[in-house]
Amino acid sequence: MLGCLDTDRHGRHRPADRATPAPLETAGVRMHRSRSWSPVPRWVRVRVAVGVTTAVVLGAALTVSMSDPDPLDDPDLAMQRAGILDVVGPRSPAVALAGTAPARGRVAVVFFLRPAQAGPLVGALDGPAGQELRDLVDIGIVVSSGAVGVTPSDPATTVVADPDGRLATAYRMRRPRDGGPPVGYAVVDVDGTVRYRTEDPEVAIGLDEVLTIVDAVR
Amino acid sequence: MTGSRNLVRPVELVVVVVVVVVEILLYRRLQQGDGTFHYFTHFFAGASFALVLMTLAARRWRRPVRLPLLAVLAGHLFAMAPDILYLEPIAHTRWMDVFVAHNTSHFLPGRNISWYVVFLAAMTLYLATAPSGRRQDPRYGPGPRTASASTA
Repeated sequence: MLGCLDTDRHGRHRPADRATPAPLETAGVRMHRSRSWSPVPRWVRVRVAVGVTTAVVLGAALTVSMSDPDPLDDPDLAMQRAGILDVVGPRSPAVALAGTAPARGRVAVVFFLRPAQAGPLVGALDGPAGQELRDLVDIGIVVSSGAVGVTPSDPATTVVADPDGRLATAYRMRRPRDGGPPVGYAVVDVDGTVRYRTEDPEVAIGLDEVLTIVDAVR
Repeated sequence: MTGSRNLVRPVELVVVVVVVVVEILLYRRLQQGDGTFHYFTHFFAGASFALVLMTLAARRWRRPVRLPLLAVLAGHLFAMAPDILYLEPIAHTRWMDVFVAHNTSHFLPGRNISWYVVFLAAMTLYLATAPSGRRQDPRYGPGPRTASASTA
């Protein structure tokens, strides 16, 4: 119990016989009697302990969360999956992948993938979220290499290879932490302008989020 | 032991448990979406916001904020409200910066390390300046009860 309180733990005033004894005046320094005497009041010690403990625990948690980054993540995580249009990179015209895709007048999603991520995405596009996405937008898949092996079930999906990274550069996609080709997607509005771009190593299991961005663009 | 028995009230203990459980659930939810970076940004920003408000409230009413952890949790939830809307799904828009700079908070130079420092500063401000709860603490003058008693 704090020896220096004259209110109880509910903030109510204590009777005089239970109140704190008067402070002592010793060598010009005001002190209070307490069971375990210390020059530092107990509430100060408690607060210092709370502050230090909180700082250490949260600092450790933050350090652990930053200690094992995904090599396919954006080096600056603020730029990854920002969830808002026109923030990561400037608006820029979308470059044609092949023929007229992405077509003007239709929203398009262009996925930038490595061969290892292309297969799971093709499978996800046949799922419920993928089918909804295919109904709403044109879809392009840019594979850094080995595009021949990527065969979506929907023939309207455009698949191209980008071994030299020209398309990724044209769409101003950011490089992952490992410095290799991007793994993510860009969303193009009806005017043919890139409105959203992000790294997203787990895009195949996150098509719901792509739909959210598409809704914002439409 | 009397001191240790009264150090934490039961309601405070319940609040600690509730806050820790909610924070763990939020962290796990964002971890599934690879969003731990966002978790820490909005935690530090929201908690700092709450701590500044708590400091002002404590000085205004001359007593520490009751259940401060609950206020910190409320600050966190307020800061990450757009992320909850994102699950609905509603994409972020610029006006959502009213939620403790939800969008722009990510772009603070130094990112989450800077937010950690901001949080430490806000916590230090509160812990160092909030009254101790002693109504007759000479730093804060007499409390309301003491004042009314003296006038009577």
